[in-house]
Amino acid sequence: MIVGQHIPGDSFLHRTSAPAKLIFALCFIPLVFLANNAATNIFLLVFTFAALASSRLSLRYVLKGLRPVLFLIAFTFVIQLLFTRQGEVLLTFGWFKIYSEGLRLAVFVSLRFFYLVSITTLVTLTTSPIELTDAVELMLKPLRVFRLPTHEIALMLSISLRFLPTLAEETDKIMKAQQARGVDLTAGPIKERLRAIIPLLIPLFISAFKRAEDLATAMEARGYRGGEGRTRLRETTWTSRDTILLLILGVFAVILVALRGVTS
Amino acid sequence: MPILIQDLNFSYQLHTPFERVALRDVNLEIPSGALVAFVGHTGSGKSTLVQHMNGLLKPTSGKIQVDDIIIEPKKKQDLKPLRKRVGLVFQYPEYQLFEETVLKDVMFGPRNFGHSEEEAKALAEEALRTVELDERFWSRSPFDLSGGQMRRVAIAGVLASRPDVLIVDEPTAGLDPDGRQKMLRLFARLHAESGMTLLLITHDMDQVLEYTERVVVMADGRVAFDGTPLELFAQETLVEQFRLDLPHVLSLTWALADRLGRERPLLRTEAEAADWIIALKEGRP
Repeated sequence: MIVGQHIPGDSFLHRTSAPAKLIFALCFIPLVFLANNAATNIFLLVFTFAALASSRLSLRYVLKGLRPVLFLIAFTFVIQLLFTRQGEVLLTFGWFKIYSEGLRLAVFVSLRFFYLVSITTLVTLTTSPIELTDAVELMLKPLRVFRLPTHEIALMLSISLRFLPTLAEETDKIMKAQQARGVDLTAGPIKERLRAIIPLLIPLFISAFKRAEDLATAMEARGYRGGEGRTRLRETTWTSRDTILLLILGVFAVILVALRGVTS
Repeated sequence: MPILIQDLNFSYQLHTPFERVALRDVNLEIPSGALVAFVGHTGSGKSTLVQHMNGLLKPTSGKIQVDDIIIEPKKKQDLKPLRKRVGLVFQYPEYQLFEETVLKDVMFGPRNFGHSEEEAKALAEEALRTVELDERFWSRSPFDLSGGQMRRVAIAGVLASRPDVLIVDEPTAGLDPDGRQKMLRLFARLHAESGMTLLLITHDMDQVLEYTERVVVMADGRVAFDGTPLELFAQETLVEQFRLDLPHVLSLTWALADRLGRERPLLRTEAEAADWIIALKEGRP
């Protein structure tokens, strides 16, 4: 799974600011649901691949990262195919018939999944986690009116993201240490394998709690008192690149709506 | 158990944008019963190399042979017999403890390798005696012990399976000088008494000089030097090139010898250094 991973680079998408990309993704999601015919879907497909290409990341790597979602796509495809009973009958296998409308919906819904996952993956791939949480904090700011602790939420988010690789490394290390003591995590009956998780989880929990305590102490020792009056090391600035991205979004929306009228 | 490594290459996260070459064309032969030190800077590939020796990592290309077990890329095989015979103590091994009591934790390895409850208990007790952990701690939770004691429990957990090859990755990191001495003496004694092959990863050149007969320097994923410690330290250019420290015994006696215009003595322990200095003072040749 590569959703949530970040690959540094300096393409157009890498250099646009995190808030712009977040706004882009948030608007893109509802817009995708406007696609209703072949023309809009072809347009979306071209747009998605163009976006993937513009990131200059290896297409093979990105597509391989979508593999975990493939199951979900296949599942919805089959469901649509089985339970839509409109249009002409295309194929008949005994009691079970495939309708033209079913096939159409199955293809469209699967494609919709593909656009959504590709674009959101692209945002996280081209944005560093720190920029992303800063953007979340910025965008949550209006909710402070309702006494929502936005700074704390963003901090929790960035700490979790920061420690994900550390925990992954730690898991790998403990796993290897227990494997060296004869634990087999990859073979044997399910019951045995579940039991093999205990020697992994206990050390992991203990070190995670210890780490959390150390981090809290270190933060307090350096005078951390929450978000009140706190300045930032990295200021997010809005550049012309961000404006261009939102203009692209606008043009994209207009074309999409226009293509809805095309009858196939 | 001899270990033979041929043309070994290894990359982390192969075929991803994060791919990183960790080992390049490593060739090594370690005879049965040897005591070899592995030194080199962080990221030089020492830890990666030793993880190949019990099948935790598989080579990207090349092969490793441990006794009659051969590990090659993509080969499917049961690695348990290999892991039973090649014990690996990781850096800061105290983080792998998890059981309710010290004794149970040490029994974990032998139980996994197919020993019965009673056999495992006997092996565990023997291992705990070897690491000199007092019997009153055996039924306590490992998390109630001090850091040094926890480390000894973790080491006992590997020794309990009676490996023929023992690999220890910086066993003295984070210990006080006294603890370091004791730990090293423990391994030296184990090696001398049981004749097991001992591979020691360390940053401490004093340990290398005093305890080992052979030292392998790793740099940038390659074997950069392979020979005796005195051969290594005698070549100033090598020591500088690999940014190693000179052992204290040598830096002191060699500085003295240079000042007095004498030949640099080849010494290995503090006791030898003391004798040499006394002899110097008394004007003996």
